Amino acid sequence: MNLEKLGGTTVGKQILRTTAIYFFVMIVILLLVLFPRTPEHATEEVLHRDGSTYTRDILVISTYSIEKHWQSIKSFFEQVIETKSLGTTRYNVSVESEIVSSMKNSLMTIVAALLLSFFLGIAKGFFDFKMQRKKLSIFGHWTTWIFQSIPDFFIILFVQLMLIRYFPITRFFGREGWDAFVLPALLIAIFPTMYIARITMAALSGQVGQLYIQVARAKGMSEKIILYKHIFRNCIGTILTHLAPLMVYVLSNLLMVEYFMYYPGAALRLYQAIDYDPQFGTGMLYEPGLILGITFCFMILILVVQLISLVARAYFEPRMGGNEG
Amino acid sequence: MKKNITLWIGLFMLSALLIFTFLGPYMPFVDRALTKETHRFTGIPGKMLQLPPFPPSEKNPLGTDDKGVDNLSKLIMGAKESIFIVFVVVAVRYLLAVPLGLLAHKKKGMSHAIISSLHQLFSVFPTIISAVILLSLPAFLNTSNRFLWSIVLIALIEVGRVAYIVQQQTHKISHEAYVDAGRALGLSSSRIIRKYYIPALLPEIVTNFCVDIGKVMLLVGQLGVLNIFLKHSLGFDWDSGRYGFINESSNWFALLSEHRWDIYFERFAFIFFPALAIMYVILTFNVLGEGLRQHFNRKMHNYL
Repeated sequence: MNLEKLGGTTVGKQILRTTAIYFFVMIVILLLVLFPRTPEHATEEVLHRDGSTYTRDILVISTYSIEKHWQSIKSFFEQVIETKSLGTTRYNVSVESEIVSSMKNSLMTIVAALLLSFFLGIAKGFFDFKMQRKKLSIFGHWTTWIFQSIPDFFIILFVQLMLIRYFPITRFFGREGWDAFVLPALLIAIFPTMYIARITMAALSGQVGQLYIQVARAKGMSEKIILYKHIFRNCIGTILTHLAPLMVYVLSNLLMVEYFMYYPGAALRLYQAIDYDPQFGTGMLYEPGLILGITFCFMILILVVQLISLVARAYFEPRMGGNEG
Repeated sequence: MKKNITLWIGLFMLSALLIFTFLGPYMPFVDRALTKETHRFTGIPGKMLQLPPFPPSEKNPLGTDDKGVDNLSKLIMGAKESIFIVFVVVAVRYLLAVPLGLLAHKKKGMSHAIISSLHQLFSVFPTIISAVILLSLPAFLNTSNRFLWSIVLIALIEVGRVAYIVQQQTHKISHEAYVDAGRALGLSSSRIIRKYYIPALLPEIVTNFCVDIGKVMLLVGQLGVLNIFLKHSLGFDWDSGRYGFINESSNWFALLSEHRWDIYFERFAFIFFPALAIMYVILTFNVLGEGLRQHFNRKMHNYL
């Protein structure tokens, strides 16, 4: 009873702390996104071909001052309060509807990739662990390793080439239906799967030689039960701590996959809203409301995953003092 | 002592990479000036005049780009700069992070606050998105020192994480019994640092340094794919007829962004090679890092 209470308060404290951190991060992102970007007139001396110089007007955004920054934050919030909206996008739609539609497109992929990489990763970790002692260990952690070293854009390019050349029936640029999210989810899951596999493998290897395993062996339990029940029970807490980084990896791969597949999801829309286009420079189509909205949604996603991992750890890991005591 | 195969493979791959990087430009088949070949006459009747991009041939093993520049030469000439950029980013990151981590080993004070806020700030968000947001800030977009700034910014993204690792490790060491014993014996602090802290910290730092080279390589590659250059200038590009940021260097990341458009015309031929080169570097340093980790672990076991 006492232990339960103790466990409860520590979990509660951790949840509070995590939320406070996310609040802090959101403020920093707000400051960065609302960095003053309004262009100003300036003059530039241009050298003519015949050697003479003339001045011409150009637009520059390079000067920074705290007042301008403050002004930009103030005007953004004034506009938000006045119109009760985050603004309109470049397509003349309200920012909220665009956030909802792009998040809806991405959410399925994100959740699928997260679940896939978590469970496949654990399975791969077990596989690597068991392979370790056999002669075929080269197929174990070495494959994990090589897959982890392949840049995501390389894998996407390769899959794209293969599908377009040899399986033209697959819709690589699919927008709806099952192939619109299965292929991106698979592509996104590759790197995070290998990440979890390495974590699982390291956690399992860390338990080798512990006293409780020897006791279980002495009692005549089968190796299977020892591995899947006893050792795994002790590792799951460590693996669960990596759930939030896993989500971060999923989101960062999401950008690459959506960029290559031109999938109208949240990560691609976020990148577009930053408006980094080498053709025009940056600034003209910059959409601060959209950036803030999508980053906020991403943070909520990561926060939810982190809270799930905290609660799950309290439940599974006996040492954290969950309901197991 | 069993042979450390991983370390040997890593060293072999590293030396191959270094040979490719530093001796490659002096090979006879490499066109160091990267000359543009606007047209070519072939002896084949019916196809007398050939315009770039030229297909792979004996003269251009990987073909040429649409300005007639040999792709293999571009790849080899870009190697030095690509590796240099990544190495400098990681070096700056460790130069900032290691002292910070050491200063904060008591887990309090100014440096601890800096580390934990940096660590929290960038660990809850994908590094690629943080990098895009930071590198597109107007203050860094139009300055003449963009290259320097972008290196510092990319380094800064994970300073918190590295410093946190160093801090944790140092904290752990300072609570070990043998360090207390050394203090009780009255050893000078310089000797404690030299003989106790550095041998225990160095393996971790060196292996993490190798792994980080791979991570930064991936990040800068992703930025290249997204058309964000570390070094660019505003101007008019006569070849494509557009006004905007023009890439100024020929590193692999720029090659990635330049050839990414090829895939929309089903020209996958060249884009793989810069990606493959990036993958090779990441793999090399990952293998090397793992090999070093095994090496140091064994050394520790030999002492015990």
